[in-house]
Amino acid sequence: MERLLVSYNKDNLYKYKKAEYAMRFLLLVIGYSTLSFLISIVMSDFKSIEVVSYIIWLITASLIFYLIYKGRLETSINIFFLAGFIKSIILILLPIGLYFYVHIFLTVFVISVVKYREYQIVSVYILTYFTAVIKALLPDQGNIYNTTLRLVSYRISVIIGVLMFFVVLYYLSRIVDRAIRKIESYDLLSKTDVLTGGNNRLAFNNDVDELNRDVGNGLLILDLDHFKSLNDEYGHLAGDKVLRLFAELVKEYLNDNGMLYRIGGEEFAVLLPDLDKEELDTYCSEIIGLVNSHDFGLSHQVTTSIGAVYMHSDTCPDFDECYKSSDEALYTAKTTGRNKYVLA
Amino acid sequence: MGIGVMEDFMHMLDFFTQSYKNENQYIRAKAELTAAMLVMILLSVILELFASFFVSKDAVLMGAIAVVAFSCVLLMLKKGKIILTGNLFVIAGFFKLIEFLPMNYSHQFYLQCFLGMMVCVAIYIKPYQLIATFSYTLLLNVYRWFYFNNAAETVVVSKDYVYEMSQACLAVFVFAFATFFYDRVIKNEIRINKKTKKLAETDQLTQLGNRQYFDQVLQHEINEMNTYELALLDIDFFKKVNDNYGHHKGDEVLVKFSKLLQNHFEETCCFRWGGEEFAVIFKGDMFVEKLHQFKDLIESTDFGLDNPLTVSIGCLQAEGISYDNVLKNTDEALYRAKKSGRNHIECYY
Repeated sequence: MERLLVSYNKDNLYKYKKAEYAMRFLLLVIGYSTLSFLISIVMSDFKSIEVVSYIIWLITASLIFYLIYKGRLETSINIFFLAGFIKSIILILLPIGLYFYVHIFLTVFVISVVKYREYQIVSVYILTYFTAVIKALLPDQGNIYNTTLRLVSYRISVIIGVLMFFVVLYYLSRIVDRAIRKIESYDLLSKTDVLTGGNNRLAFNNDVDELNRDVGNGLLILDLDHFKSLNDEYGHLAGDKVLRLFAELVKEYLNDNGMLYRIGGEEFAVLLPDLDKEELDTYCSEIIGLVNSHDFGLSHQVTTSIGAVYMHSDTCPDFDECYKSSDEALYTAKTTGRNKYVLA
Repeated sequence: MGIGVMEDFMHMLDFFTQSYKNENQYIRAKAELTAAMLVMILLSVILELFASFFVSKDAVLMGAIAVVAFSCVLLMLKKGKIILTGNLFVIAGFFKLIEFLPMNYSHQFYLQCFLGMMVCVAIYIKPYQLIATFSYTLLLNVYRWFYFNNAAETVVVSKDYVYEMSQACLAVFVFAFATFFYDRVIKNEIRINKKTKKLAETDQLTQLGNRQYFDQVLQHEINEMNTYELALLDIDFFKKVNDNYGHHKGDEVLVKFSKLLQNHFEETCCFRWGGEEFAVIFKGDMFVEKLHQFKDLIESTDFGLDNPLTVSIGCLQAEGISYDNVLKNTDEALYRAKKSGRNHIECYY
């Protein structure tokens, strides 16, 4: 299933999930229509109209499939519904009418599950409800109902029953929607560092797992010098402000070339994907220069020490090793005077 | 437009679902839906009662009995017996299907099949309710199909009829499969939702609440105008632990410290507020005494360091203070505790 959904970004979880449901339910409907087609072939005399309509549906289904695959979810769901609705209009003409109700129930069910926008669910309900009520109020052609009371009871049960069906479906789809939306927001929250508004350690761990190991990547560990004394001297609120300013500064400098993560109290990490070993020096010295020249609004200058490592499959294949050596490099930088960087 | 009407309708049902207010979200949703379904069924039987006045006088009594019966069920839901209500739904669904089994009522039979399964997925609490509904629906479908298929040979029903019925029977099976799958989807999303919520509120290292969760809880206490006590705890000279023993040892100390903190304050919310700072939001008696006990506990615990670990604590009793002031005052108390030689408790009053 994941291979079919490559055009959807997992960060937009709602769209991703809906595309997944749409894919699954489309497969279900294709399976169902095939079985139903086989029943038609076996049960009734061979009618060319049934073969034609089945082939038209298969073409429509592959179009829907292609649209979902290409990432155009909204259009594909609209086509899905239109196809179902047109068929139910045709089915009104059948003498008994069982097939008509069955068809609209399935259509409404599938569309409510996969719907992506609110207007889709509203229009599906209104259109289908009116079609169903009109069908129920048509005269009893086949003389199916033996008493008037039975006919009235049938009409009431359609009018109220279809409505009940919609209420339940709408409610369930709302539960699913809310759950997905919450997952989305909590997911973002769990990867965000509240203080600096950037990424936190969990995001760091996730991104490390997704790093492309075939190319060279840079890992920097930054630690603010004498941060503890700064905190004690100016108070925690001032310390927090320094962290925020520092994070902003580095993030702005990195732009799209790398990511900054706050992995500890005053400890940050930077991942620089796909770069040459020579560039690593430039990045480190520029960050140190940048922090040195920035005014943090305190009477003494804030500085940082950096431990850097160039991660390549032949220098350190295992990430934990890389991390450890950059930590050691940071330690060396700390013990040999601070405000400098050391390459491992 | 249609959605707004739905919301209003659901609000109207609050009267019947009051007794589930304190239940979890899952039960509340089920109760709301059960109430909605019952109200609609009641509406439908009342309509039938009215109709029977005009059509046939004999049916009036039956209609009246149905109205009374469903009102009783609705009353039962209001009394808080939701599982019993669900079971009655399952049984009523069965008898409805039996009632519509004859061929003249085919439309209602299939309507009832779809509706019964859908409603059951929405309101069931015990799995057996779901299993019962699905199995009798599918069994009766197969039975009906065989029965009328044979009847076709003796020309009781037309061929068109058997054709449409076979299609309907297949659709019921597909629908059963689809709703069952949908039920899994709902459960799965709710489960993932709970898991990510926990992840977002927990500090990864210590498994205590993290800073954003602390902010959330504190904001809640402030909004509710509750009386609570707040303490900020800061491990003394933690930087030295990190520098002398390495970050790894530092992490170990933090984990052990957090465990002690959580055990000492039991049910209370404890948070990791910053690197080596922790916060406790406490509601109860003897908070300061408990803090003193905790301070002594830390001093006497062996963390595997050369010197005993100590902690400085700033605390405050708060009621109706703004968020910024709460933190500022507590931080100030903590600062005084640090200044007066650490391993000390200072409270802001």
